[in-house]
Amino acid sequence: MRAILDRLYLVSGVLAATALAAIAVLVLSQTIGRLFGVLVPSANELAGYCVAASAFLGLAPTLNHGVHIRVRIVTQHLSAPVQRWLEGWCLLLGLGLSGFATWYAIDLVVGSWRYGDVSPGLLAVPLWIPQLGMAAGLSIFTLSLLDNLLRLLRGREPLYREHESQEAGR
Amino acid sequence: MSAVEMGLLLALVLFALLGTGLWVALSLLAVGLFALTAFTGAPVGLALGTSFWGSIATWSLAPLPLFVWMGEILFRSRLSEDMYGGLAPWLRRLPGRLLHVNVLGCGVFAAVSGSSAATAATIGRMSIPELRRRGYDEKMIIGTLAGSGTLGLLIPPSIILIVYGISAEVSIARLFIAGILPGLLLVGLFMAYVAAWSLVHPDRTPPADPALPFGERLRASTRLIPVLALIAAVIGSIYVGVATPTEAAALGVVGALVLAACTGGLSWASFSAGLMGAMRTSTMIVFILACAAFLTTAMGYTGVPRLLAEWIAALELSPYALLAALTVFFVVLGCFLDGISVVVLTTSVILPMVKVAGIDPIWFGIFLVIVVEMSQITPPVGFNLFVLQGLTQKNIFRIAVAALPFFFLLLAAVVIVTVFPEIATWLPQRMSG
Repeated sequence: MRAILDRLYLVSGVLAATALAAIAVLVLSQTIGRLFGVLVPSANELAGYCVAASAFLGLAPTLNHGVHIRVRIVTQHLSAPVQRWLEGWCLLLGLGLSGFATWYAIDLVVGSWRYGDVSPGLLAVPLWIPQLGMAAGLSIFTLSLLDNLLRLLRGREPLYREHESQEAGR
Repeated sequence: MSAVEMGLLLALVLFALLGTGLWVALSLLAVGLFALTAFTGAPVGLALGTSFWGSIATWSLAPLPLFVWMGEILFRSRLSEDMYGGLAPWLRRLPGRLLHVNVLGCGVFAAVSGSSAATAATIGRMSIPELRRRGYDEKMIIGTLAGSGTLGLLIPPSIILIVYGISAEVSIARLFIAGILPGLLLVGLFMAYVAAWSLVHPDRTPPADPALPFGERLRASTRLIPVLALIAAVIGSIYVGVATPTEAAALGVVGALVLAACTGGLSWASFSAGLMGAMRTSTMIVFILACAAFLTTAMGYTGVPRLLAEWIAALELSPYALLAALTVFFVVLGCFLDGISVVVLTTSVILPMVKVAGIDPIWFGIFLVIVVEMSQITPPVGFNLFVLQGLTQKNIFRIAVAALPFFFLLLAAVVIVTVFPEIATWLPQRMSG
């Protein structure tokens, strides 16, 4: 199970990074295309979809690397058992919030699919396709919060803990 | 319940959640949900789905991940060494000598990087050991780096100005150009302080290195040409209007890759590490933006920002009094929150009252960023302090004391930019397009 989950987070992260690189490729091809009078259809919309895919698919790996910002100035002065309780509270509340957001992200995809919404540009992309990236990313994020909560309940450390302890990051 | 009471209750909920350690983005989301369900009958789920998608899947956000990526590539390149080698031979005669490498190096790196922590880390990695070896005053080494590192936020490209521009709906190109002169003003203030300090304490400045022949110095400086060309291409193309910030950012990524490849700092490992690092940093910021967009929508339904703006307007404060109050508020907030969170909270709640007071939103962005720069070097939460703690292994409060003079220089800059707003507004008014 552990191996499958870690693989899932990795794939999600690699897809997010690929989407980020794709933004650069799209913008560049549009700029270069303009110089030679070649039109890259809907490059702006596609770049926007890549921003969304990159940000939402990146959520879970970013969590596990301890990069999502949180205020630790209060909690780090508390005793270890209290810290564990608070960590559980954060993960439980986060799970609820993320689960709620996931539900409505899926709702958005289903709505776009049912009503056949398409993007405004030249390429009429059915909107449910890019929105699927957001729904999938939020689902994996919800799963990773649940994963970390279960680890905590079994008396183990959350995955992001080791990165957070080297606070000197950016 | 009055608007002020609602505002206070929401602020209380937010700080309680942040205090327990809930992630900043999720705290914003929670407060937005709370505000919508407690005070309005708005359809919560629909507002959530559409504000997430509408705020994030947009071309105008594209420069953010790209500039983050450009910074990550250069952070992993050999630029740090080249910068030190190219600048140091020219600065030996100035009072304060090589301490100016920190200020100027940070100023130059800030013009290719959008982050203050990355700026301090890149320049400090090379200059701290070199300056220590020559016996420079430890407090000044740390102080100049902590202070000048914050230039990364103000001198374009700047991640935090993109965040402000997106959430305040202000032109990012104009914000970037508006940041140039105030950034140079800060460089000037920092260098003047270093010079004045070393004239007062001549015994604490080590002797100059032996002079290099002029030709040698020129040869060392040619190592700066690639990075200066990159700066000119990225900022220049935005200023003359041939490129949007997104196009300039994509150009910057290519330029950074070429620069890293030419100086022998690019391998598959460093490329993928840079890309994955950029993905994580940009995800973190964009998720905060998504949740802040939802909070802004929710606050719009409750009407709290508008009512607060009317309340402030009824007080008939002068703009100076309002700005002074906001400065104190942001500095206190910045002691506990990172700059991006301060900016998104500001635009969700405070921007309407600023607009009512008749303050130019572009100028306000620059003001806000300088105040956020101050918060980067105030304990307990100051990202530049964390970076310098990592680089020097010193106690964070000692680093904060070393950075204190630079905190006051930033405050002086806030006052100067408030008295002479043209410093920020003159250049953007001259832009084409």
